[in-house]
Amino acid sequence: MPAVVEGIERAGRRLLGAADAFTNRLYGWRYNPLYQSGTIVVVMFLALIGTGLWLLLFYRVGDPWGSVSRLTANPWIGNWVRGLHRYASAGAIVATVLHALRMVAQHRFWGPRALAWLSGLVLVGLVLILGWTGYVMVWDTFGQRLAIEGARFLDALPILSEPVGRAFTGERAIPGAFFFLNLFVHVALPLGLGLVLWVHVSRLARPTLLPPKRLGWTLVGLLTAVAILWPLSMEPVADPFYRPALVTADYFYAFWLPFSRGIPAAYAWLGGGLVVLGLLLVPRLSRGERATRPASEVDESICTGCWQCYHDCPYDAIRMLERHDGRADVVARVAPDLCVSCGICAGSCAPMGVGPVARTGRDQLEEVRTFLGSPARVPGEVVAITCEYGALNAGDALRAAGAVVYPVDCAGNLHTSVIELAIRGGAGGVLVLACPPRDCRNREGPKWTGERIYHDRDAELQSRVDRRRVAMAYAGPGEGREAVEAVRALKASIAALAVPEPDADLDLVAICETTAAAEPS
Amino acid sequence: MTKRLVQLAGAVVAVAATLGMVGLSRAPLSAYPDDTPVLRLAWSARPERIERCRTLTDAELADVPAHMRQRVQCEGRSASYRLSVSVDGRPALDTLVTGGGARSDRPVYVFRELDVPAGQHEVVVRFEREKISEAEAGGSVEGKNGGVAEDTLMAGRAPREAEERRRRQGEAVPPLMELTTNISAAVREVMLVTYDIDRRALVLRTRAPSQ
Ligand code: HEM
Ligand code: SF4
Ligand code: SF4
Repeated sequence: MPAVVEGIERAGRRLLGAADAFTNRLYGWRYNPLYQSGTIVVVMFLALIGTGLWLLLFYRVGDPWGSVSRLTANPWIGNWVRGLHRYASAGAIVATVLHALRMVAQHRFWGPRALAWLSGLVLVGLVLILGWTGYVMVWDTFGQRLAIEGARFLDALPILSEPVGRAFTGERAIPGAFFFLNLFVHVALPLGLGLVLWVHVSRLARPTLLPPKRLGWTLVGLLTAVAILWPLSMEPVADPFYRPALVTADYFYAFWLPFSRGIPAAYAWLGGGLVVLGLLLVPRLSRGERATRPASEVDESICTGCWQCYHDCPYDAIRMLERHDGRADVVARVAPDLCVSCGICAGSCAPMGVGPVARTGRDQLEEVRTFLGSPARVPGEVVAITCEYGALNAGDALRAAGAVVYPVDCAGNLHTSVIELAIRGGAGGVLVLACPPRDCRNREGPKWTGERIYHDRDAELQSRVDRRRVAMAYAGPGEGREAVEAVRALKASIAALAVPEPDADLDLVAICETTAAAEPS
Repeated sequence: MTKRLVQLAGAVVAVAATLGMVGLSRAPLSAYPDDTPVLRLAWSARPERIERCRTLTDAELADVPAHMRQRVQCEGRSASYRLSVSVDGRPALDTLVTGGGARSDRPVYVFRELDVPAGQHEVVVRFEREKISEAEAGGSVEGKNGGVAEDTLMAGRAPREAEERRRRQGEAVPPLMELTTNISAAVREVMLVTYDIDRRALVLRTRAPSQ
């Protein structure tokens, strides 16, 4: 993968890690808006549709500036609705950027996720055009500036027989057809947006489209309050015979203007084109990832057809097929072109029959056995199982707090037998440090692991395991403090327990079989 | 930190972030950094056809598919024009413009913006058809009906075609237009020189004085 992308990834991880930690402390992970950026965009869309339909009732293509100006003068049913419409469009951009940044930082753009990446870029493009047409609708000095710049770009392309720019030279009044077309695009694009959003989440099982209600309403309420308390004013009407020094602009939709303004349209196309091309190529440049992140595979000789991996896979990549060898009715099969190699299924399968190569439950048990066999092990110590992307960042602090750090690819991949084996191998306690649920780069890892540990979700932590020795906590990449606190808490709660005797004979196969036998087939 | 304090900090951060975002959505942005007045030349006009015409004989006509028959056949091209501007006697622009489209037979679109220093100036704008050679210039069709008897199947056609050619010539821009005008250019102002199709002449338009 190109070094630039890696650099952006690293920087994004550091930035988001710190920002997430800060906002988690303020609002708790459940209501952290940074984790909800994708769903917040959807909330903004909904607010835009609601306010937009209302504004549409008052807009006149025959008198654009005049009609918006009358609306703006009305404090009850006009001004704040217009304000909310504008601020929600700004919110949509801010949230989109955060959402995309998180996807980059978490390396979520290659393989089957490329569809979400590409459709995400289309969504951004559509949103920017939507904003552009929206501001042109007002036909104030800002709208005119955008229109003139847009016309300059369009006229550089050899597609239109009559230059668009002619409409704005002052030769004659701007044709009503122009405002009609602009309005049409502004109203029609949201439909396209909805369609692309559907494609965007089409590879996901159970896509989360809305944030917690409280968060969504708080955000809309905040924007409404600002719209009321800081009313919008009307900018001067567009004038072809005057070139204002300043316009009151929306930087989220006109950020490119200072760059494009001074250069020939062809260069602007070239520059913009290169940026877009670079973004489009990101998934393609990352195709080599498959070599290190192979698709999951099912060992059909182990699969009991329990459907659990099918239910848990966050990407709907597992099919249950009919089976004819008398072992069970069905057998799981992974569709490699849908599998992102998240490894969640490895934790779902009690008999350990599925998972990406080298990351299945059986591989995890091998690993923990090697770990327990190390001469460095001390009976009674706390083992902190840390997600590579999350709490592992605080590895040194955890060690300083007296925990042994046991890194895993994703806490959601964790087979509960690993916990059991660690405790039977002499660990005083096992702390699973997962990322906060909405931050999981595999979407549903912490949720399923939590349910397996605490709520008997299939492939559950066996009841014979002493629950006092097991804890699960959430800590994102910037939350070393929280991670260390969780270690201290577990240490305190096991302090009174006797130091466990390591099991002399840790028979991997026996454990697998007892686990499997405990499952209904 | 106590719970109260955290809540307060949370509210402050949320409000500050919202205000910051809202502020950026309604902030001054430099639209035209340069305040020099601009002389804008903008118009579209149909270029003149320069063509040689020939009357086809009945025999020639019969070879042409029925729906394409035209008694008088013309070949030629659209004229191109020399656009020149001088400000206070100094040349500011001198360029050749041709019609749009692959065969240059579409209207000529003129769109130029020239910086002029603020103040009083005498501006001369000339739009002149480029010279055409003797060979191209000829081509009128002799005789009332193009020298063809009126009793053939093309009866009455030639006059109609001649009328159509005249009409097209009439729509075309005059071979020479010149506008000499005194302007008083104010900072950031745009003065438009355009083609007034009714007066068939170049005219100057400026901002309405009331604005
Ligand atoms: C502009 C409007 C956008 C909206 C409304 C939006 C919304 C969403 C939503 C709701 C999800 C599902 C989250 C989940 O359930 O886990 C999602 C996933 C995703 N989005 Fe976006 N998104 C937008 C733009 C973008 C952009 C610009 C990019 C990147 C260029 C992007 C990349 C992704 C990726 C890669 C996923 C799938 C991640 C995964 O689970 O692996 N999105 N988006
Ligand atoms: S690794 Fe397993 S859970 Fe993850 S996408 Fe592939 S099949 Fe689904
Ligand atoms: S979880 Fe394991 S046993 Fe159950 S269907 Fe999937 S592969 Fe088969």
